[in-house]
Amino acid sequence: MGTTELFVHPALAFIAAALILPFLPKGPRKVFLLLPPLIAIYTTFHNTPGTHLTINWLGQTLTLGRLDALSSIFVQVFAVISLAGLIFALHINDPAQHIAAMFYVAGSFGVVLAGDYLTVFIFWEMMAVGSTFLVLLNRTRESIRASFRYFLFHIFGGLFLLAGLILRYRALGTFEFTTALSFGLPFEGSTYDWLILIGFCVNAAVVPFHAWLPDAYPRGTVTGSVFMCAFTTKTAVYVLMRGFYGWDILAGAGAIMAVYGVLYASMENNTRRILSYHIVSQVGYMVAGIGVGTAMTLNGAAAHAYAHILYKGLLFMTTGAVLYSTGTTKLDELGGLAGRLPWVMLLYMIAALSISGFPIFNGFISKTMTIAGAAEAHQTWIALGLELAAVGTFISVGLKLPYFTFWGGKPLDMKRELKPIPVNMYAGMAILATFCIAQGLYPDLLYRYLPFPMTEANKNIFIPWTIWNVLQALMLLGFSGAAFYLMKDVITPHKALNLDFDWFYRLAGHGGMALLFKPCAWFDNIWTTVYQTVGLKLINFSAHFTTFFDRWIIDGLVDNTAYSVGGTGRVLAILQSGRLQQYLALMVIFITIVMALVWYLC
Amino acid sequence: MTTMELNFNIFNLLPETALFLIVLYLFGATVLGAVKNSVTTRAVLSYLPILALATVILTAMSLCSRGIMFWGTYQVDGLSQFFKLLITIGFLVTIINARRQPTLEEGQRLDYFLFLAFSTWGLIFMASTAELVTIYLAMELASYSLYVIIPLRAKSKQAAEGGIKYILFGAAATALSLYGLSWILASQHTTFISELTIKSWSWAVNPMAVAGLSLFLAGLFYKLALFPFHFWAPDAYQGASNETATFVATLPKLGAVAVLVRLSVIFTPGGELTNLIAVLAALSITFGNLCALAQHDLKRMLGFSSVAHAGYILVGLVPGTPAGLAAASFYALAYLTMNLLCFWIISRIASDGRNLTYRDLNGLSQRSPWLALALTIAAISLVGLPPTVGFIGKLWLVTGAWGFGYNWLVIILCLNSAIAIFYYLSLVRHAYTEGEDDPCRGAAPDISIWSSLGAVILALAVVILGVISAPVFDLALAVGRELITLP
Amino acid sequence: MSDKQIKEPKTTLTALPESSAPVEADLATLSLLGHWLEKNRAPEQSCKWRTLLFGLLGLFMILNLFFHPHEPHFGVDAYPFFWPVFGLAGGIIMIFLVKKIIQPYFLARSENYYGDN
Repeated sequence: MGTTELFVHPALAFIAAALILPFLPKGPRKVFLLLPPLIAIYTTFHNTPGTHLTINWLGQTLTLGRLDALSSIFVQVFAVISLAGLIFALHINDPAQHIAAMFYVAGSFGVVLAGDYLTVFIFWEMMAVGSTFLVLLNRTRESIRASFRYFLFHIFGGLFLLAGLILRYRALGTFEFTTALSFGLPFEGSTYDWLILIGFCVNAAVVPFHAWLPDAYPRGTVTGSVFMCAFTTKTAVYVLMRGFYGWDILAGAGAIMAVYGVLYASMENNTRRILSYHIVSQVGYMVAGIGVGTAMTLNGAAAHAYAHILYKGLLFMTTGAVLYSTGTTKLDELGGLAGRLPWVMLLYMIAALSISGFPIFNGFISKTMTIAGAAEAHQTWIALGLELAAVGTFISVGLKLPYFTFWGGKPLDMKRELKPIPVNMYAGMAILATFCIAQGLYPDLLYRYLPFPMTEANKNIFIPWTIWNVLQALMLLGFSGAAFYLMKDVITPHKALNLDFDWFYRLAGHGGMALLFKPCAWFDNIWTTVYQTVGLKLINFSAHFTTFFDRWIIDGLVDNTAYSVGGTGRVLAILQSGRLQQYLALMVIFITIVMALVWYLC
Repeated sequence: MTTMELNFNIFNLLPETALFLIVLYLFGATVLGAVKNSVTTRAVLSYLPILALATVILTAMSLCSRGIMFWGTYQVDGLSQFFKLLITIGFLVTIINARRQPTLEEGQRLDYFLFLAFSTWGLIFMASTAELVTIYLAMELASYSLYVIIPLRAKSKQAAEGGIKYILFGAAATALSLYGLSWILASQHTTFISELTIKSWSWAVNPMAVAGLSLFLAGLFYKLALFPFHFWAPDAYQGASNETATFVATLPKLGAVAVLVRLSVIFTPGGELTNLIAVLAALSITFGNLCALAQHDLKRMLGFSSVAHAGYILVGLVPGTPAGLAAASFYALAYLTMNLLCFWIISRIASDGRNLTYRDLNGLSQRSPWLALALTIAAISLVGLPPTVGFIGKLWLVTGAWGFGYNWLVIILCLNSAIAIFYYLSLVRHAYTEGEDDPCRGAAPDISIWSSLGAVILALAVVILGVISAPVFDLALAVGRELITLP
Repeated sequence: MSDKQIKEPKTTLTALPESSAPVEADLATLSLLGHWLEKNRAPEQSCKWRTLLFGLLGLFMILNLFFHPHEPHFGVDAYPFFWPVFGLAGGIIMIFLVKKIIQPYFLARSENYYGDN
């Protein structure tokens, strides 16, 4: 079932660019960087839906280009953010970072367009590697260690995915990436589905598999974290949406994630870590939407993903710009910057209001859809949790973070040295901000790409711009803001490391190492002693024995045979005495003897 | 019978005629006094290689000549032409080899080549003779010519000694041969091979004929240097000059093999004569290899090795099949090439004409890598390792002789090939690994282009014949089939 | 594994002391927007903003009396003032819980707790 029109796979453009990039000089490199995302944007409008690029590999059919309504919306938003992100990163002169980003983005495209689990896995791992390098290339001790942990954890998650897909193949006989057959009520559903789910949930940062996110994302490069916030989790959201929609456990998990994220975000001191916890929270919205599984919530999850990529990207860009300029992300060290970085602040606020769901911005049109869909599906507690999370979101990201970054009760800080922020960073931020506002004001810009068209039959018509929706949002946010105002002192951030689930991860890691090392070392010591006392003696003895055997018996045999043959020759050569009479006599004697012997005996 | 007429057809006698013309040419030169000064000698001799080459070409062209002449005593068939070609090629190489002969006096040069030509002429006759007396005559023609030139070595006593031994031993052997011929005549009443093949040769029926033929074969075995008629060979080779030894060690054997192949129709497997041949071959192989182990002088070693090789050739005659005959003929060719190469190298190394020992080979790889390489190839071929002609020859012998009741002989052949490895590869060992810094004992080896080129060409011949042996072997097989189907 | 309690510094954030007001010279170096922002931090301006924002909150509460959702999500949210209470109470409780109870007693550790830095 493949269509014959030309299908341009955006991942190919990125991979090709990554391979060519090292060989380009600095100038053309900057221009060249923008080509793949432009190609990707082109493909979103050019490629026709269907199953493309089926290739045979090792006896399996891989589908590289499955394009339908669900995957096309993700391809579109990935293309947009990759363009904005690369514009944001134009000033980077380190080609390695660009290459890592290219591979990472290519991996995401690959997963989204994959039609079978094998392809998913291949690109999944490509994403893991690419993103590891985006953290590693920050080149501080902290980042390198964080990248290592990140990599370990993601490979661990990937193993779950691999185990699951192999078991699934054994059970079903196919790698085709379709929805799970069961609906995953606890203790229903097959082992392989759960394994695959775990693998996906690691990337989706579902609690308790989420701790890698706040560990690694704050430690990535300024530009790398922009990419990372957009792709890994949203790719996971896509695969969950494709494969596990309607699994109730996801609804509960999503709600927990949403609240969990904001709670931690309220505690944190590091701006980017606050945002990382917010990723957990916002993805919780999407996961909850997937879990509820109605057309409206799925649409809501997709819309939320789209909007989230845009405003989260903008959030990371702005905080990244602050990091780039000031050199720190610690809220207690920042403050008094509003005058000096006004545009950064403004762009930040656009994003912050988007994430909070303020009308005019795109968070409003997506978040409300998700909550409404959850409520209409009579998942009251889920909706409640999500509304609570909205409160927390506005408080932490919408108010706490900008307040303490730009104002913090401190006077205008003229003494701090601010690195000038390059134009391309502003350009990237501006692009995303424009999208945020445009979609907020004109929701159809987003709604027309949603996987489930809004029809009566689908029961998922949603109109965000109603008086009540706007009022409710304004009230919710306004009074949350009041809460913040009253609790300003309490919520002041200060330096602390908040324990999270990574405490368990590290325990497992260290425990495993200790388990391996201590007994192994003990055993190795014993073995070495045995080896030295018994083994070496044995070896020496056998060496002596074989030498003896070789020298006396084998060599003796061979050499003596040779000597005896040579000796025989020497003896016989005596017959050649040089005397003719002897020759003649010998001739006659020998021939007579031979003739006689032969004729009488034979 | 039409075969019992003169039947003179010059076109069937092209090789003989060509060689006769060479003989005349040289004889005329000596008579006309060209020996007086070296310039004319050299001038006369300078044409000799070309004439020899022309002879080779003519012989090659007459490979397909067939005919029976001189009242049935002279048979031109596949066998004779094959061997004539081998002999003429050997002649060509030998005279090129002998051009620079330090131990030959100027005044003797023309005579030397004249007698070489005579001997070759006699050998060519031997290849074609089909009657016992004629065989004897041809054999004597070839031998007497050699008797004369063996002592021609710069007044060397050893050379004279070698010559004397050769003559007297040869005289005794040929005397035995004649004696045997008389017995054959008495018992079988004919000396024509074509008629002798249809007579019975078993001891029970005709003991006198068997004994007679055995004695007649003594003469042939003497020329072939087969045990126990080989005792002259090492001394003669050692005594003669290197170049003379080149001729003596190679060509006479070819003539003897030609006659033996012709006679081998008589040897039926299981018969007394065949058993005798087999036992003699075995003894020859063993004795030759064992004695060669103890030698230091290279020509003595090669003499004993030729005794062994004579035994190898006889292995092919034992089964009495076309394949066996073809194997024997092919091995004769192999033997010719290998030994020509060996003696060429020896002649070049001993540029002063001295006798070489193993120690004289020390450091050859430094002085002349090409000669050393060619020597290696010669050694490998003499041992019988692939991809040389020696290996293929032995392979044909083994496969041709296996399964006719003489498997023990084949086993002896293989075992002795193993023994022979020692003294053949000693050549290589001395050339490559020993005494790089030893000063040259005698004169330095001749390392001119001419010597290296000749060595390389001969070495290539050894290898190419080993690799692409099928065409030649098919020719030999055709020869064999021609013989065995003859009445 | 016992770390000492993290003490929170107390700061007064409602008004800027006079002495810390930005100098005119510094203000001149800022961009237009920056200048405007800083100017509005001055006490007299920030008062006006505060009044405006609280006024808006009051307006919302009044509007809530008239506008109701067609399909209440929880049932209770149809009642007026549900959402203001939800927002305010939710926010206050959340902040209190997190910053006064959870973080200090359970989760806070020194920054180099894992030895990463």
